[in-house]
Amino acid sequence: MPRSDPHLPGQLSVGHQRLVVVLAVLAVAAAAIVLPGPGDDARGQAFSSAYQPFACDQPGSSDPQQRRQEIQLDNGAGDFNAAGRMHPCLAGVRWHLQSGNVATSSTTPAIGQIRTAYGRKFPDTVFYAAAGSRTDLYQLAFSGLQFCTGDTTPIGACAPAGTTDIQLYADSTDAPGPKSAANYRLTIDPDQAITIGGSGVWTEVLATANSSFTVPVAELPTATHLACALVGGTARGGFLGIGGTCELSASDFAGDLAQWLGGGENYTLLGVNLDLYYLVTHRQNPSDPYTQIPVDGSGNPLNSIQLPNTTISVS
Amino acid sequence: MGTGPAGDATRHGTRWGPMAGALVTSLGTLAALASLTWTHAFGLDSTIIIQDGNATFSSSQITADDAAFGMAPVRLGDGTWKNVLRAGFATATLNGLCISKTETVAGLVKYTIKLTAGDGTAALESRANNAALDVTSLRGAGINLQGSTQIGQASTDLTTAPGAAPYLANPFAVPQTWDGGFYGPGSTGPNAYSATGNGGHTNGQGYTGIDATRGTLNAAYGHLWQAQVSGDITLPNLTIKVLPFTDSIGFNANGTQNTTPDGIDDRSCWTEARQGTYPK
Repeated sequence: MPRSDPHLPGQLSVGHQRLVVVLAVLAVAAAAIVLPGPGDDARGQAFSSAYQPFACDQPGSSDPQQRRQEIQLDNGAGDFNAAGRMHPCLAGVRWHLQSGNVATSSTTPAIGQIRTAYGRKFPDTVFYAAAGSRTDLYQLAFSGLQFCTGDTTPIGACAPAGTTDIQLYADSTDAPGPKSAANYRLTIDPDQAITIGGSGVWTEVLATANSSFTVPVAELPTATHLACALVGGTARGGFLGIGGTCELSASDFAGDLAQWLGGGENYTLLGVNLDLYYLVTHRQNPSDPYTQIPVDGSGNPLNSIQLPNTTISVS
Repeated sequence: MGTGPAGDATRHGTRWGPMAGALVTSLGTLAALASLTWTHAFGLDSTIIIQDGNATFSSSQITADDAAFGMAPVRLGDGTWKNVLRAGFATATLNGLCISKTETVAGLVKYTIKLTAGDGTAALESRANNAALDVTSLRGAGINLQGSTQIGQASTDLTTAPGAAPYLANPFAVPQTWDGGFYGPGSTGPNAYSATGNGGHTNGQGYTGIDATRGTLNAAYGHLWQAQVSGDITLPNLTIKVLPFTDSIGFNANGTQNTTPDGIDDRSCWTEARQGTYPK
C-alpha cells in the first residue's frame, strides 16, 4: 500500500491512524444513532394534562399551569366565541412576518390574498412561560392567506413568480428574561411563496397593535378613503378619495367597523407586516382544536403551512 | 454493508494488518444491526453528544407524525451553550438517509465518515421512532406542516412523544429550571438562561418552537450537530465509508457551485445534496 497519500502526510503512526479511523467511525455511528433510555381527552375547552403535559408553572401558585395562556378561538364569524381554546405555554419570543410594503400607495403588484379576516383586542393579560406579561396584544383570525406563487396565482395582480420576498423569523433579542443566555435569530427563508393557512384553514395570531396589512381601497365596502379612515386606517394614493391603498393595523382592525373584511370575499394583499407571539392553524369554529385537525374532504390533514424551497437557519 | 470502509481507507494509505479485522468486525456488527431493527442495541443512555458542527445530513424525504421544531440549548465540550434548532418526530419514515462527519486529527489529518442507508427506490423504507435532529441549518425543497400547527410555544411545551395523547412533557429536554450553571445546581458556570426568575422555574422561556400534527420534508439537507433516536430504527442497506477529505467543490453564498474550497467535503451529504444528489 502506498504511504505517500497527500491526505495522510504521515505525522501519525499507522497505529494512530487506525485508531483515528475506528474512533471516527464509532463517533459518527454513535452520533447518528444514539439510543437513549426515555401524559384522557383533549376537550380543547380546558387544560388537559394529556395534551399539555408540561407544567407551565409559577412557584407558590396552587395552579400547576398558572402561566399557561388560554386563547379562545374565533367561531368563523368574528365573535371569538368558539368552544375551542388553545392553551400554549408561550416562549415570549417575537416572530416577524413581512412581505411587500405596507406603506405602498400603489395597488400593484400584489403579494398575496386573504379571505375573511377578523380582529379584536385580546381581552386577557398574556403571560409568558416564566416571567413577564403584556396586555396590549391583538387577536387576528383569518382564512385563506396565500402568497403569490406566480403572476396570476392566486390573483391577477400578483408579482411574477419568484419575486415575492417573504421574511419570517423569530428573534430572541427583545424577549423578556429569563431567556436564552445567547440571543439567536431563527430564520425561515423561502425562495418562493409560502402558504400559511391556505384554503379552508383558519389562522389566528396574537400580534402587536402596530402589526398591519394593506389592501386596495377599491376592495373596501364603499371603495373610499373615508371607509379606510373611519376604522383608523391609513389611506394612500388614489385620486379624490378613490382608489389607492388602505393600511390597517391590528388595533384599527379590531374595531367593530372593520368587520367588513369578514364578508367572505377575497382581498388582495399589497403588504403584510406582522409581529406576533403566537400563531395557530385550525378548522373553522372548532370545539376541540387539539383533536379536530383541519382536514380536506377525504379526511387528510391539510397542508396548513407549506414552505417550498426553504432554508431554515439559526444565527 | 458496503465495501467502502476498509476499501477506501486502505486505498488511501492506511495499512490495517490485524486492526482491519477488528474494524471490519465492528463495521460488520453495525451493518448487521442496521439490517435489523435497532432496539436499544447499544444500551446507551440519553447522553447528549455534541459535535463540532461539521456533520451534515440529507434525505430524499422525511415524513413524520407529531413533528415539532424548537430552539434548544446544547452544551458544548467547553461548558458553553449553543442554540440549535431541534427537529423532533414521534415517528419518522425516510426515503434514504445520509449522514457524514468530517474529523480533524492533530489539526492536519482529515477524514470524512459517511453513513448512507436506503433501498434505492422512492419508497419510504427507513423508519425511526422518537427521533430528533439538532441542526443549525436545514434546507428543504418542500417543508409541509399538516393539521393544526402552532408557532410561538416555548420549546418545553412542544409535544411529540409518544405520538398520541397522553404526551410526554418536554420531550426535547430543554432546561426548565435555572440550574446554577454548567456544573449543576448550586454551582457557577455558563447557564442556558440569561437570568433566573419565577422561583428558578424558567420553563423554556425564550426558546421558541413550532408544533405540527404531521410534517413532510422533501429533498432535505443541512448541518447536523446531533442525532438521537430513543426508539426503534431500521436502516436498510446501511453503508459506512471512510473517505479522505477532499474539498475542490465549493459554493457561493447564493448557492452557486464554484471551485473555491468551502471546508466541506466534496462527498459530504451536504455537498452532494447541493448538487442535486440525495440518498434514496
